[in-house]
Amino acid sequence: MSDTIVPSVAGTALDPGTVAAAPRRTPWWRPYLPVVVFAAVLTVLPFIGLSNRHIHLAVVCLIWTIAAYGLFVPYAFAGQMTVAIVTAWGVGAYATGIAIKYWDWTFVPCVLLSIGLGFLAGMIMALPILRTKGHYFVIITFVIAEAVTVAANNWDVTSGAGGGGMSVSQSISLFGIDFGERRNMYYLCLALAAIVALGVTWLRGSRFGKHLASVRENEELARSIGIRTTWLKIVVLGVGGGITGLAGTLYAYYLSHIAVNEFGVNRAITLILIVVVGGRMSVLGPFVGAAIAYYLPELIDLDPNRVLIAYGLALGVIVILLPTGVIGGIEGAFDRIRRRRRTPTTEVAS
Amino acid sequence: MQEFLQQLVNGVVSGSLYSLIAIGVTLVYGLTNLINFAHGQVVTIGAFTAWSATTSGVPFALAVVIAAIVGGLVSVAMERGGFRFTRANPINGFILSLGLIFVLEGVMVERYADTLHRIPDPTSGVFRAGDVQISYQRLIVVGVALALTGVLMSSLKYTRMGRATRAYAEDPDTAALMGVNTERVIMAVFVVGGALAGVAGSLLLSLFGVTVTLGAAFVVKAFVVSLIGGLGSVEGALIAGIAVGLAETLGSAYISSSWTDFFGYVLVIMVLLVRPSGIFKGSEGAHV
Repeated sequence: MSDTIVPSVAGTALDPGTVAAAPRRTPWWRPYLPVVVFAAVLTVLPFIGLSNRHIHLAVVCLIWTIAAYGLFVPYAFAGQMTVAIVTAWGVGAYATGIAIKYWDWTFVPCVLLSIGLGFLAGMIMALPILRTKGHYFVIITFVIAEAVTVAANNWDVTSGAGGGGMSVSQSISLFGIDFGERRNMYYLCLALAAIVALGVTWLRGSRFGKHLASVRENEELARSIGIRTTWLKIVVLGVGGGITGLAGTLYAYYLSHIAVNEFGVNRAITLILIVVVGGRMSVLGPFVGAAIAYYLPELIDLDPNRVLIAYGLALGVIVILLPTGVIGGIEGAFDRIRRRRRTPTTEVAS
Repeated sequence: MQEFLQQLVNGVVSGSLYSLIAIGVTLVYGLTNLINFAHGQVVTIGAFTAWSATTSGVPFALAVVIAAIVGGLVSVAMERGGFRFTRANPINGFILSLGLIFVLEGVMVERYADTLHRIPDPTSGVFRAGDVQISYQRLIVVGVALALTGVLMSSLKYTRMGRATRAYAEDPDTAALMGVNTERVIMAVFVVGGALAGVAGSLLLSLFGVTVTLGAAFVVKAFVVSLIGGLGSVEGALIAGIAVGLAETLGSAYISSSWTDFFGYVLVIMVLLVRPSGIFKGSEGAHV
């Protein structure tokens, strides 16, 4: 999985005899390949005899993956960490719930509504960045997430009767296929997750993505050459909100019940865990992170409280020992092995 | 009028506790740029240490001291075992602190069930000033909080260690060149912050009772307070803590009690719109 390696001439400049050869260009589809292959592998998952419970876990896992992309985009591309991303998830879920309950909307308009509102919510919650940045901004997003939870708990539409939440009693039906059936839902979520992952890959290579990288690497420098960094940060946090809003729709449809307190800071911490475990340098990181953070504890059937302890320890260990995440760690190990095999001229050439 | 004064007093009581918790947050940030969200768990641990101590017969005053010691130890253990390694990259430290929230809260849930734990009032009696009534316990809480803050502020100003701390906050490299033992300064700040959090936890226990999940709510308050006061400023934390306490009690008394937490959040967002780095930051020289 070398999707993090920037196209470079390192591969061709190795042999002193072929130095004159022009650097091989990476074909345009190369960055998308890992995502396509990975998604293709996942399509066979329901055929290897998994029980219903495992399909269910896989669906929830994919929804978490999509939500994690909403945090991945601002964090990995522009270095903007936000706790309030979980609020965008709640906005998406509740927009869906309300649209179904009061206006009887169907799936596609709900998705569009959630993405739109998630995008707006992300942008609005990014507005403090006009006045603060860095650490102050992270804390402010924490405060915003808490404040919205208080507000939602006090609004009887969202908190439900006696704070019991809201039921979403509609199942997805598209092109005559009933996605209430678990296996179909799995393919729908997989398709959407793959589309999001491909979109994210495209975004990274685009002009916008390169500007974001400049914000991440050196904001002052980026600003000095005329990049509107503040605006970029607001937009990228909006994009993250939109992606997470999509996860909100799927979540509301699939679990058919949502409650305000689910979308609290704990969920944000789990999302951060997913992104950090998967590795912020790898586009497939959220898939792997969600599988590790969500699927693994369910597989070994831990007591929920112990799961939290394990999450916390995992987060600590990974942050300290494996700062690039699991995928980053594997890639790093591969690189070291590869480098050991090469002749010392490699070092000079690269 | 009488009710207003009563609310004012209540606001100062909870505000002084907010200040006590916020000092640890703000001091640590001032020195290491670390956003330590696990600080709230130190409050919880302090509160439950005091609960265990008092229910097994230890007098409350001694229980507070034990809670302070345990809080300081837990806090410095987090630094030695974790934050020491993330010092170069404070965002990783922030993520680590989120992990520590899960670990410490999970352990506390295992040890103590998630129910309200209370102790019998350590003192009885009510102080009356006109129509306003204040229980002695509340007076003690405010007194202890203000006294500890005062001691901390003057020792930052006048003692050798305090001067070293301020020097480190100003410029770590130069301070190290001048012979300041920087590791010791950082550890000392974690110990002091943790001890104050432990005291705050045991005082909370004596007033309202505690649950194992209270840490998260209080650490958010502590950050609200620190942001208003300016991250790194102890006097800022003191004043902002009382301001937030007043905003919450007055807001919940005169507007709506189910929105209590909201008023502090609104206050911080409004303050930051006007003064992005807090009220007390950047107005004068060194701040710790």
